[in-house]
Amino acid sequence: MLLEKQEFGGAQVITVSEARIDAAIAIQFKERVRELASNGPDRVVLNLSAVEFLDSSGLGALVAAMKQLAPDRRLELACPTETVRKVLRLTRMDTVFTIHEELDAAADGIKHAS
Amino acid sequence: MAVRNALASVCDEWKRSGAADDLQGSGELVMAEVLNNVVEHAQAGRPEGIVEVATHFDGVRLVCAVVDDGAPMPDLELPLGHIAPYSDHLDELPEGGFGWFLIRSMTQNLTYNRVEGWNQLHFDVCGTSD
Repeated sequence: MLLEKQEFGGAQVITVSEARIDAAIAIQFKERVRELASNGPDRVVLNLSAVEFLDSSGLGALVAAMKQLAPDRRLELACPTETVRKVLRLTRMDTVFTIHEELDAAADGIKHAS
Repeated sequence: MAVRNALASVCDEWKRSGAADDLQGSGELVMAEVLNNVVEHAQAGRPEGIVEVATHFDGVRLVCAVVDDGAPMPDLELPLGHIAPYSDHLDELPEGGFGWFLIRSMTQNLTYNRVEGWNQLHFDVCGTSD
């Protein structure tokens, strides 16, 4: 499972290079995010631009990761694709998560690097 | 992984039949939730269990049937899939229970029958507007 972290402008950006966050990998994904994010800036931005599919298990893993990182760290989502956006919207989890359409200008170099 | 393979097959089928991307996306999501439920609950601990999927695009919606020989639904009824309003407190947020809500949000004509040791689930996946 490929998750890469970079620190940028006071935040840590974790880029998920998996195409699917689903029942098959949800548990490992949650653990991996927690491991990677537990050192570094308080603000953790999950770059989901490569994630084409998220099911309820994947959503559960995002919520669990957010809860585990709290209260010291805040998990935010960035660059949701169509299906990810659909799941967040239908479940109204888009009112719970902070969602960025694009990575910040501060993280512009990362956005174009992958 | 078997679920992922099954999903890839049905998505190919839908694509070949000309289903729009958004509809395919919804179909894949519903089918993933249904198959995950079958694997985890109906077939739990039974690697020899049988699951069969039949689906086609009728020009408007994805008509689907999933049958399996696993354990019956509790009380022979489908979960309602209600999600309670989210608390303001992070630690009270649910980490599960979204599956049936998603299924019901994106399907019509969802029916469940238990016939001679088989679970039969029928549903149509309809487009959602984003």
